Amino acid sequence: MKESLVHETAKAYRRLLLAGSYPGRRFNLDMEALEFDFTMPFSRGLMLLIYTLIDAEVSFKVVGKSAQEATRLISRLTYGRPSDLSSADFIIVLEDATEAEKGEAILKSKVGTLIDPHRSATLVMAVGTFGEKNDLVLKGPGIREKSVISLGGLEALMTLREEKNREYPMGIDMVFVDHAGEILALPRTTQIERRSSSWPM
Amino acid sequence: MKNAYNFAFFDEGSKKEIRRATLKAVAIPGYQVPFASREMPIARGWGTGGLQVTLSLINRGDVIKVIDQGTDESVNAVSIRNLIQKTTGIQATIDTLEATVIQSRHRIPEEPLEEEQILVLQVPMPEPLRFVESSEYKTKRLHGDGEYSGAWLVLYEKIMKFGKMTGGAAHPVLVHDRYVMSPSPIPKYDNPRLDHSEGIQLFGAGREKKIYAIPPYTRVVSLAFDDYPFEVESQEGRVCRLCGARGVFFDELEDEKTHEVYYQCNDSSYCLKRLNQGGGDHV
Repeated sequence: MKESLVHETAKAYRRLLLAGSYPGRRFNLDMEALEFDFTMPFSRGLMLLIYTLIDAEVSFKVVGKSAQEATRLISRLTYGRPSDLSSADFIIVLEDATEAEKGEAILKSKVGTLIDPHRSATLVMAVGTFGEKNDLVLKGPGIREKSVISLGGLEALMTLREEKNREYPMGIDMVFVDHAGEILALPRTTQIERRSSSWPM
Repeated sequence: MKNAYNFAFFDEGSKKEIRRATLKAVAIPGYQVPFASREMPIARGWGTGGLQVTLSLINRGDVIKVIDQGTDESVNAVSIRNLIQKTTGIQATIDTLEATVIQSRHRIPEEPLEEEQILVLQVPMPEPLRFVESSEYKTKRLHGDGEYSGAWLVLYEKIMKFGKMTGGAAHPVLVHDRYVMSPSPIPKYDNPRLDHSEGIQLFGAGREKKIYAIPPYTRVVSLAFDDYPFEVESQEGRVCRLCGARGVFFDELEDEKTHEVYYQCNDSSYCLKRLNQGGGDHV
């Protein structure tokens, strides 16, 4: 690995840790100095997260139109093991995935067991921009009182997430990344309500 | 910086594995995430868990502080700090507020953590149920079921034997109303400070191969009974001989000649800061 990537992935990990620790807050991956000498069918921010998280010890599944090309690239660069939705440690949902594909990715992901809740999937979802809809209200560990966020059109999927996370400590953890390299995380502990209604999600 | 080894000592694969475990730990507060625990240039049981978590975190621009039972100057703290500095080239400090990452053995610094600051605690024995159940296979199931009678029993037996919850350190806590967790051997005085901390608290147990975490703003309650409430060590009437501080956690010392008992702030850099700010009444 290039020395610059050692520091870029260290920085990306710290932002991921901060994002996971303060759910709903957006952190920037700061990719000015980051150079990739290859092209990829998704954003540079997503590529950096993949580099940071995936190696030969874990499995992954890509969802989206260019999933095949992306899978080849990721396994070649990281030695990560391609897998299916129900067993993947990391599920990478590309921006061009259909609503149905995104929903399926959440529903089929693994939630771990009561004894090993860490054997669950982390979904890394790409968005164009987060937007300023500010429709979702978050509560839970890492949030002082509440946090209000936008999810770039993925808000409706949060009902499926709620379904998966019904039996805490089992559940899925999610990370969102936009084109500008902003990331936001929703660990399984975060409770989400839609602002416009009192329905918990 | 030219080195014969990778930045922060570890190879990138090792860092990734520790990082993934830490991210899971933050997502499941109080749950002990197993990890591979690498061989380190210090022996297991001497802070390798904390050191591994720290090395996976550190990057250029970080400022590290390492303390051992409240002091920056003990052999263990100095050795670990030197290793981190030698393999990363980052700056070190003794000022709690200046540090981005603080590695500690058995104390939470006197000054409260700020947002985005990371405290890494070294943990000798992460399993709060180990006193009542020696099998890891079984304790994992007890955690899965939320079956913590054993942890309550340990406290109950202390009350029956001594009339109060004895045990000066590592008093178990309930994290996010789900997992009973060992806070590492911090004094009871530090337990309430785990609750709704602004910073991130990570726990690394190298010998036992576990990483766990308390994210910021998380409910942490020390186990206690209604009729035997949790009590911290009383510091009443004690004054630091050096800086005059009251109401902090003290070391109790004895003058070798006069045998007079006196007290000093346990957090040595906090004491020094107070002295430099002119807070010392006696020096």
